[in-house]
Parts: sequence; structure tokens; C-alpha cells
Amino acid sequence: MAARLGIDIGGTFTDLSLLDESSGNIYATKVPSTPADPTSGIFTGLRELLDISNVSAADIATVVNSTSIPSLTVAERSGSKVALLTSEGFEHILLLGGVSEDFSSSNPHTATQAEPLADLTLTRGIPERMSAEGQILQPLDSSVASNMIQEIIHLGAEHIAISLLHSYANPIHERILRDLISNLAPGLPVTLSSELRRIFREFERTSLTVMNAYIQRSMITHLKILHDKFTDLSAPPDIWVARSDGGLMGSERAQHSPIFAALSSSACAARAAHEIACSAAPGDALALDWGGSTTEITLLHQTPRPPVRDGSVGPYRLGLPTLGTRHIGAGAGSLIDIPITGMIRIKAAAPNAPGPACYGLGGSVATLTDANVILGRLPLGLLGGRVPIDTGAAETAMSVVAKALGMDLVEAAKAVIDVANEKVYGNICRLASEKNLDAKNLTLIAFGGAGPLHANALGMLGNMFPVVIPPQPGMLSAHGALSASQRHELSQTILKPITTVTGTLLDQVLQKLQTHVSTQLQDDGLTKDKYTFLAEADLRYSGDSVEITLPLHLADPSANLDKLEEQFVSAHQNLSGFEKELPVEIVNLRIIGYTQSQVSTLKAKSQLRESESAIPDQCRICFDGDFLDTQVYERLDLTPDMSVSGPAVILQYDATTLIHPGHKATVGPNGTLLIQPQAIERV
Amino acid sequence: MNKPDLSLEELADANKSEFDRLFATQMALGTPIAADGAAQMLTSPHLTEKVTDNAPSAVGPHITTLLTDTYAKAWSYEIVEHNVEPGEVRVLCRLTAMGQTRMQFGTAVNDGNIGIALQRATDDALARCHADLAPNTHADFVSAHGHQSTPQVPGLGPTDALRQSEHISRVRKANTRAGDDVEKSVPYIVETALGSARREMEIVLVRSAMSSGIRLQRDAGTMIADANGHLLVGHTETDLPKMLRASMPDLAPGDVILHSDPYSPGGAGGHLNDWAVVTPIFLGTRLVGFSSAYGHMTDIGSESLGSNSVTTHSIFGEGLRVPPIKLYKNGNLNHEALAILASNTRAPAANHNDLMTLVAATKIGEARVLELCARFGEQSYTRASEILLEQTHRVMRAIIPKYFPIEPQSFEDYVDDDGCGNGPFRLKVTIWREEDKAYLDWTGTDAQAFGPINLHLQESTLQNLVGRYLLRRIDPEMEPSGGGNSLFDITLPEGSLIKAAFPAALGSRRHILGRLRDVINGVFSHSADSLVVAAGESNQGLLTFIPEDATQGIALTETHFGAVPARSTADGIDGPSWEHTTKLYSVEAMEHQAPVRVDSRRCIPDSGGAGSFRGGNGVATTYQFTAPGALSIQDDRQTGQPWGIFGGRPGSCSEKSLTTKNGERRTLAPKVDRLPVYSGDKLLYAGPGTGGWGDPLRRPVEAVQKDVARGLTTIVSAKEYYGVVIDSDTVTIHVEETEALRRRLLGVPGKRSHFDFGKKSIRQTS
Repeated sequence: MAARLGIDIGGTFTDLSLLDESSGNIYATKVPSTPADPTSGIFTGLRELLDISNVSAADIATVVNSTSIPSLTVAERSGSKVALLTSEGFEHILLLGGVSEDFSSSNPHTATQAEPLADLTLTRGIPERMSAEGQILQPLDSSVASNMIQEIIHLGAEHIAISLLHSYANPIHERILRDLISNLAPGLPVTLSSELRRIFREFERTSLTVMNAYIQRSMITHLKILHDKFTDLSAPPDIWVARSDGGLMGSERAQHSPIFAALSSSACAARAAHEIACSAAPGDALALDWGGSTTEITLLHQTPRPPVRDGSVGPYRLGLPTLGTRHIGAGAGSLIDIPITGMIRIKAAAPNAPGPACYGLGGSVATLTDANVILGRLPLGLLGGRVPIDTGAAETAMSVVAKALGMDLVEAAKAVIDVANEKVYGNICRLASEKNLDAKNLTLIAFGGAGPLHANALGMLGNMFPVVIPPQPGMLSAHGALSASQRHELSQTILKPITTVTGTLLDQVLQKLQTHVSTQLQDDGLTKDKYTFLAEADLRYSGDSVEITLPLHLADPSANLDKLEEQFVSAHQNLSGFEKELPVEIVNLRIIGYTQSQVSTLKAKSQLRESESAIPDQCRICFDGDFLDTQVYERLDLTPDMSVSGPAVILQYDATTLIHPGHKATVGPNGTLLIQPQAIERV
Repeated sequence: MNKPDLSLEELADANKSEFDRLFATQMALGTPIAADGAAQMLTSPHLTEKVTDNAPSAVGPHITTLLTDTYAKAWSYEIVEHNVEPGEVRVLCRLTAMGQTRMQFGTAVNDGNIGIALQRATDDALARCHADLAPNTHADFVSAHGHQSTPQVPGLGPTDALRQSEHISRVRKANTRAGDDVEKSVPYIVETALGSARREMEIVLVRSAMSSGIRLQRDAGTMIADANGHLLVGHTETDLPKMLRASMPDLAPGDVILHSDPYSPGGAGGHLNDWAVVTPIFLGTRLVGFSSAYGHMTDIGSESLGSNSVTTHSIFGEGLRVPPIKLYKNGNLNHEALAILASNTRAPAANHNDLMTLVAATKIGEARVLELCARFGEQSYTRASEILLEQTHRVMRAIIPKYFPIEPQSFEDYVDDDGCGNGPFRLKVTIWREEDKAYLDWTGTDAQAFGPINLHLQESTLQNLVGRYLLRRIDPEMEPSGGGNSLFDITLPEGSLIKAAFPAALGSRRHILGRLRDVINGVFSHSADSLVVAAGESNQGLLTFIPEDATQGIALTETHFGAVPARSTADGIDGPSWEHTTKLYSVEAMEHQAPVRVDSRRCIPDSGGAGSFRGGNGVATTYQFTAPGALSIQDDRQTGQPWGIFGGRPGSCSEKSLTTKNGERRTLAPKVDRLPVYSGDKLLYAGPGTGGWGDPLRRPVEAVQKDVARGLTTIVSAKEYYGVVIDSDTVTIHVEETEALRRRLLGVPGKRSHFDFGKKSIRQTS
């Protein structure tokens, strides 16, 4: 008997998902996170799962860990003391990345800058210079460099990040510096930009390198403890770490390059949503992850498009490979603010804020959750009764909002929820517009603690039907981790007009990348027969900011060249609607090595847990101004092909799904809920 | 009563009910019926009591109680600085709660008992810190206890409560006319939806425009207006009602208007490169609104490539002028017009594409407005947009008395030159209010320039700009509608720099447009201190290098928008600009595509003015050209320093110099047009710094030390301006010497200057 364990460590909760491969059953649970030692939460949850399943600890052959440890380390400023070696003249590089990302706001009062994770007192500019083509313009001065290294070691540097100009073209100077450091301070951790990324644009590459250095210690500590605890418990399983692009990497590699795991929770959720989307409805879909503290959206295409390389961690622009997940704002715990302009504003709560007033944990400012409580849309206990709801506290908090708006409590709560939905819908339209798609043709996959509560209303706003609710909408990341497979990618900037790129050059670069990726995958313990390669090229019009990724045929690289320009022009036409009379450049070449997923959670049977709240048959919920008698269901009781007509509310352990009047939810074969307008059914 | 009764901070932190009280008061003071009441209040003993009651004392027990109520034991505070003067005690206080930190000044009257006055000032500062941290809680506190840290607004006595509530209900009734009542939540949803629609229009522009001006520098904007042409959300570049009255009386479904000429009625962007497209939105045959987009076209003719020379002196030298024309009539594209447009540009394909992109963006706006009409009904949508206009009017009417003094207040600042050897040029504004009307009079601004730095501003553009400025701290998310415009009376002297007379050249208006912001900050600094930032919210440098031989690489265009100036709540930001998403070019990318090598790019220490909040440092870049070509620069702030405010010091000027291969160095003028440069020449481009905010002697010593250790402030400045003595070897603070020095410097008599224009001030030379 073999079992697979998916783990997602979040800031508030740790989710676990256990797949019993012999029976195809999935057991899942949610336990409070334990930031001091994240594994302690994991093992609490694991014991729960072992209790309710027939799986024993020794059966667990594979553990996949998706984690927000990197982003939490950054948010809490608990990383290592990082020193930065950069090229002379560019010591302030981390200060020069720009401010706000919002096109519309040019407001000096709200402008902020990400605080550099390597302090300037520990930053040194090394006398050296490489050209864009990788030729040495100025040789590295080892004696000056040694003095600088000694200085920063003396100042207490715990990790040295090295990021020199054009090191993607020639990493020799970065390697010389590493050798100098290992002579001067053997064992001192070092991160080289050229080992993480071979792509141009110095700000993003340097930020990536510095953050890798900053978070490495916390990731190593976590993975070592995880490994030790499993070893104590049973035969040690294979431990894999989820990546920001939805793939997996070995524990060793994750300790070396933890930065690639930084957005793993989002990526795992988006992966799982993608599997569900493909099985639920044809066409493109949108994943909506509406959680307690953040709301994220991802466009999902039937044929998976290549990951994009635009990932940021908080305010830090890193250009991480991701599945294109976009953070669009605060989650259900966001605060409702009515400034003196009298408008409804929804603001992010402080990271360690006490949460919604109705949780009774000291919060006094109204949140979206409180507004939902006023409308009767949430049960009186969440997470199996672990979080009781204090309706009185919600009313007190919301009455401030109501008074400011000159409305009664219910009117105010409804206005606030409508505005919140409208904002999310606006973001969906904009993301679709960026890709030249119409939001109206998307299938909405809604998850996260609050997603299913708002999903039907959002579907109505954009006619995005069917709305799909996964079996366990609050634990999608852990599910996604279960079915993820190994992946490693390496890119190389060449930045040459396509007319000057020869088949030989293409072949050379791709061969080199392939060897490299192959080594990495073998280091992860995979044999050659397990993985395959994909090749890609990023192209652009000369000097333009829009890069488009196209697949390459690995077998005969020269054959690619003939068609590549044509393919690019047509892809650009589809995206932007025009051609340019400019030369086309090949920006980057890339090799992706990956294994096929051995696991599908779609076919697995989710063993749902009772919501454990006292469930009445009916309750009264406000949908469109009036409170209606609403049927209450337990998700566990809904069997495939059953359908439920709105107004209805479906309770489960990790989420609450609301079905509006005029809509019905049908249970799909794999336990998903599909919400559709009833009128469509008749056609 | 002409002094603002509530500071902006308090206003910003007040919640809606507090606001309603203020508004009712304003209504009471402004309407004839209430005039008696207001007069009564002025003489009522209640008011006298309030004014003389130096209220901070009353806050004492409340604020600490409130903090404990809010954060339990998880809060602490520290007095960073304090200053005792004969009449006043001032403290700078740092509150830490929930892991967050806020710093604010607090003041109290010094009536002899310094201990009590210090306590009151601390309470005052804590209340402000707390308000910053948790506006809602603070607002509750205010409404529960009355805001007592400053003298009360007149007319808030209990006897007035009844009348206020009558006023409020009158306003409310006006908001819901009998017969066309609209569901209360609809205006809020419409506000959100229109804001989203406008941003979606921007996405279309960025996605589909070819012009790098639109695509990379985001020199573009979108807007949605109501059926009368009144702005609901978005850009303020066109005065639609004026344009429609003058030239478009016969709009019909399927029409799309194009215009680019700032001199035509209603105007378009600021210069001919900005093309604006307006689509009237019809529901059936009824006009329900307008959707508009403008963007910077790559080339519109003229003698110079890109139609952006700094040496033209007539609009006729700047390219094609397009008055408002119907690009589409009843859905039919006007091909004759297109042919004229195409024959007046060096880049016909790009122009056509970008024009169609602008049309596409307006169509998205049209679709979204029609969706809203379908969703809520046309009447409800129209009513909701009326309410948004009324709402802006109401808010503006209430805040105008807070920001506009009764006694006229002036400020002036300068632009270096016009690129043709003339300058400096003065921009001057005077603000005041009469009853509830706000006046901005630009008389005193210099006559228009010979060179192309002029503006031909629409009054409505300034009305919108100022309205937006007043709200940007109170509600940064708000895109105020044009509903408040009638409250702003704007005087733009004909033939001046900002209302240049036809056919003055307008191409390089960027500097005046920028300096306008500094002038507005300066003039409001007397009445709205926390709203303003120090100078530097204006730097818009532009560098262009075109290699002689195109095979050597393509042209390099880099914008050098300056750092963020010091603000009322925080330091400025070193390096990047607050403007749009303007980012510096990646050096690696630049070296790939242009025959240029960048030797260094650093922040310039001390270029940000000293202050309790330090100005952001400017950036210096050294370019080395590796092929011959032509260099053009459009920059400013080279002859007048960006000023500091409230005791803050000025930032440094910009500086450009060219060093040839054989070592000859020469200083460049602020604006340079097609200067020949050769392989091996080095250009130093040091952008200007920004001004500081508040007395540098009050900046926390640790913050100064940190800046010195990071190389952003020099040891010399630390001592000279901040009074902080730092050991050059250990970079640690000499505590005793610092204390002594600060004590001595604080004791130097003389009032802190409101503005510090620095030694290199144009004021002394002009």
C-alpha cells in the first residue's frame, strides 16, 4: 500500500491532503499553522489523517510540500543578514527598481518602495565589467574584491549574494568571487545570480538572487526538520517541494534555490484548478482564489500555455516563473472603510490584525466577512465549529459602516458585498483584456475560503457559467501538490536579431541548457527514462517590451528558424492586433525538463468531512434586498448527479457555497459542483 | 474663522458622520437661512468657551485608554524629539502597535507648565499616530468623544444639532427625487464599475498600441463622461461640454470624434502629439454618455523625427493639427480624413494602428456603460451618475473652506528655459475663497515663451486637477468626477505660459506641466500642510540618442522622472519616480540595443534635501557612447533648486556634462537639441534631487546615522543640517556632541523658514 501526502503551509492554516493510492481515497484536513516550527502543525494534521484513514505512516512514500515559508520570511523580515556583491557603479541597484505598479495612480503620498533585503551597508561594488556579449571589458580586481569580502564578513554577513552586470552572458566573474569567498570564509553560504537565472535585466535578477539568499536558511531549517521527523516516524519518504510554476523540485535543490518555491501555494492551487477546469467545461477558464487575506486570479487555458516569468513576492519584482497568477487585492478579512468622500473602500488589514469582528478575536473594524454575516450568508460556526461566529459583534462593527453610508445594516452589508464583487469582476475583465479574451466566455472555478460564497454572484456579473466549485475548495493547494510532477527549467538570454541566429548557434545553446537541466533532474534522483524535454524561445520586436514565448522542435533546431518569425508575427497579431515593421529578435532560449504526473486527484474520491455545525433545514439569507427562506445542505450528503435549486446554501468543513435564486447546482462525477442559471437548463 | 478649524489630518481621518457634521456646518454658514444661525454661533458663549479651551488636555486620558482598548498591551511609544518654545511645545512621537510604526508631531500651548504642555503635546501626537494606524477606530473615538485636540468647528453646539440634521435630510432628499428613486447601493456599484471600465480601456491601449509613448511610458489616458459631457471618471484632458457646444451639435449613433489641437474649442491633450478620440454612447437613439481615450502618437509630421523638437517656436512647426472631426459618421469610417492623417506622419502604419487602438478603447468604455444601463435601467444609471457628480460637489464644497484661505495666498516657482536661450520663466498662482467659491488666479505668470514649453490649459483641466489634488490623501482611490468643477473659479491670463496664445509652440510642455504641481504644493502649504509634498513632484527629464548609422543600434529614449519628494508622513523615495509606472531602463537591455555603455548609475548622496522627512535622492548616470550620433535632452531644475518646506532643506539641482575622449569637459544647458556626440564621449546626467519636509534637527538621530551608513547622506550634511555628529571611522553617533550641537542649533533664534529655496535660487537672479 502506498500513499502520497500533499502539504500546504499557509500563514494561518496548514492544509494536508492524503491520497491512499490503493483505494483512490483522499483525506484532507486543515490545522492552524505553527510558524515557530511549521512541521509541528504538519504532524498534528498528519495524525488526524492517519486516524481517519487506513493509511499508516510507513505507507507514505511521497511527501510534496508547497509552502509560503519564503513569503512569510520576507513579510516578517526574519531572513538572513544578506550582503550583496554587484558591479562597481551599480551599488544602488536595489533602490532603482521603481515604485507602484498601478497605471492609474500617480500619487506621491501612496508611493512606496520595497525595502532592499540586502542592506546598503553590506553592499559592495566590485571593480569588473562584462559586455552584453560576455566579453571581459574590465578584469575583476581580486585584491580589491578580497578586501571588500573581508569587510562584509567582518560586518556580520550571514549569506553573500553575487549579482554582476551581464553575468547571464558570462558568469566567470561571479565564480571567481565565489572562490574568493570560499577561501576567506569556508562554509559561508553564497548565491550566484548566474546559477539561478541566465536572463538579462539586472534589477529582477539581482532581486531574485538577494531574496534567495535571504530566505535560504529558513527553508533549509524547515526541510531538515521535516526530513528528520519523517525519518523518526517511518521509512523516510521522498520529499519534494512545489515550485512557483506548478512543478516539483527535490529537497536538495529546494534548499539551494528556495526562491523557486516562493509562490508555490498559488501555483499548486492554479494547477488543481486547471485539472478541474479541463474536466468540467470546454474553453478557457478563470481560477478565483478568494481567501481570508488575499484574492488571486489565474487565467487557465485548455491547452496549457507556457508559464510566464513575471512573478513578484509582495512588492519585490523578481520575474519568477509562475502560472500567471495575479494578486488582485485583499481577501475576506479586508477592512471596510468609508472615508469622508462617502465612498466604499476595501482595504487590506495589517498582516497580524485580529481578523473579522465576528470571529471575536479582538477585531472591531468591519470586514467583508462581517458583511456576509449580516446578510445571513455564513453559518454560525466555521471550520467544523472551530471558529464560532459572533453575529452581535458583526452588527456592532457594521453599524459604523451603515451609519456612515446613511443606510440600514442590511442595505450597507449588501452594498459593501456588491462593491467587493464588482471590484473582483473588474479585475477579471482586465486580466482577460490583457490576453485579448472576453471575460464572458470564461468558466469560473471558485475556491479559497470565500470563493464559493461569492462565486454565483460573480458568475451573474460576467455571465461566467458554469461556475465550478471544487470538492474541497478550501484546500486546493494541498490537492494540487498531490498531483504535481517534477520540473526544471533553464533559460539563456541571447538577444540577437533572428536573421543573425544560425541553426548551429541554436543547437549549441539548447544542447548546453539540456545538459544542465538533465544534470539537475538526475541530482533530484530521476533516471533518464523518467523525464522529457521541451524547448522554447522568447521573441520580440526589436526593443519592444512585449515578449512572446513559442515552442521549438528539439529534434531539428535549424528547422525552427524558418517558421519562427512567421509564428511570432502571427502570435503578436493575435495578442495586439498589428504587425510592426521592425526586426524580430530572439530574446531567450529555454529548456524545460519535466516528468509526467503519475497521480490524478480528479479520479480520486474526496472523503469530505462534515461541517460539524449544527445544521438547520432552512435559514434566512438576503440575496437581493429581501431575506428569503433558504434551503441548507451538507455538501457531504450531495451525491453525483444530484441537483440543488437556489436559493440554497451548501455547507462544508472548509467553505460555504451560496446558490442564488434562479440558479441550480449540479454535482459532477468527481464531486465538483456546477452552478448554472436555471434558464439555461431549459434550452 | 478664516483659519482652518480642523487640520487635514483630522479631516482625512474623520469618518462619514463627522464629515456630515462638517458639511452641515458649511451649509449652515453658506446659505442665507442659516446666516443668522452662524452669526449667533459666533457670539454664543459656547463658541468662546471652545476656542479658549486649549483642548489637548482633554484628550489625555482618552488616547491612552483608547490605545489600550485597541491594542491591549501591545503598544508602546517614544518621544523622538521635543521642542519647547515660549508659546508652544512640539513633540515628535513614535507609536508602535501591532508591529507597525507611525510618527507624528503633536503640539500644545505652553502656558508655563511645561510638564503638562509636554504631556498634552504627546497625547496630541499619539492621537495622530493612532489615527494613521487605525482610521476607523479613531473615527469612532472622535464621534464618541468629540474631537478635542483642536478648537471645535463653529456650529457644532448642541443647539445646532437639529438644524444640521435638517440640512442633511434636505441633501438626502435632493439625492432621491420623487419618482426616480434609485436603489441606494447603485451609485457605489456604478462608481466601482466605471473605475474598472476606465482601467480596462487603459489595458487595451497598452496591449495594442505601437507607440512606445503609450506602451512603455503610458503617456495615455481614458475617461467616461455623462450625457452632458461632465467627467465621471478618468483623464481631464478634454473639456467635452465646451467642445460639443462649439463644434458638435449633431452627434448621432455611430459617430466617433478625433481631435488633437489644444487651440480648438474644448482642447485636446497638451500638445499635438496627444490624439484624443471621443465616442458618444447611445442607448438606441438616446445619448447616455461619452467614452474617450487619448495617447501620444509616435510622429505627426513637423521637421523633427518624433515631432518633439525643443527649438520650434510656432504650433505650425510641430506637426499636424486636427480640430474636432468625425472620424466615423453613422458608423462609417472617414477615409478622406484618414488619408490626410497618413500623409502627415513619418510612421503611417503606427499612427493608423494607434488611432484604431484609441477607438477600440473607447468602444470598451461604451460597451461597459451600456451594460450598466441594461443592468440597472437607463434611469437608474443616469441617476447614479448624477449622484456621483453631486457627491463630488458636496465633498468639494465641504473641504474648500479647509484648504482655501480667505486672505489671498500666492506662490511662484520657475522653469529654467525654453530651449531657445530664454528664461527663467515664472509660474505664479494666488488662491483664496469667497463664500464657498474657490479661486485660483494665475495672474503674475510670465508671458508665453518663444520656445515650445508653453501650455494652453483648459480651465476645466485645472478644476479637475485641483479637485483631485485636494482628495488624494483623504481618499486616494477616489477619481473625483467633474461635479465639483463649478466651485473652482480659474483665471488663466491670455498669452501667458499656461494659456499661450495661438500660434505659440506647445510641444515640450512637460516641464511646465510638472512645475504646476510644485506651484500648487507651494501655495497650499499655508493652509493644508499635510497635503503637500516638498518640491520635486515635477521632474520630467527626457534623453534621446539617435546613432548616426542605424546599423549600430536603434535610438535610445530614456525618461528621467525624479525621485519622490519628502512627504508629510514619510521620507521621500530615493531613485524612482512616483509618476505612472515610469521605471529606469535596464542597463543590460540598453547596452544590448543602443551603442551605449553605462559606467555607473547611483543615487546622489545629499541630493535629497535634509528634513525631519528627508527628500528622495536623485539619480546620476554616466553614459559612454560607443558610436557617433545626435544627443537631445529635455530637462529642467538646473538653475533653481527644488525647495524644501516647513524647515526642510532644498534638494540639489540637476547637472549634465559631456566629457570628450581627450578629456575636455563641458557643462550642458538644461535643454539640448541634436548635439553631435562621438564614440568615447561620456555624458554625466545627474537628475535633480527633491526637497525635504520639516526641520532636519527633528529627524531621529538613528535615521540620520542609518542614511550616513548607507551612503545616502554625507557625514558633513549630517552635522551641518541635522546636527548629528558621526564618527567617520566607525560611522557611529557621538551622542554627547550630537546632543550639544542639536541643543545649540535649536537655540539659534529665528523662525524656521516656511520654504527654503537654497543658494542656487532663480529668485535672486530674476
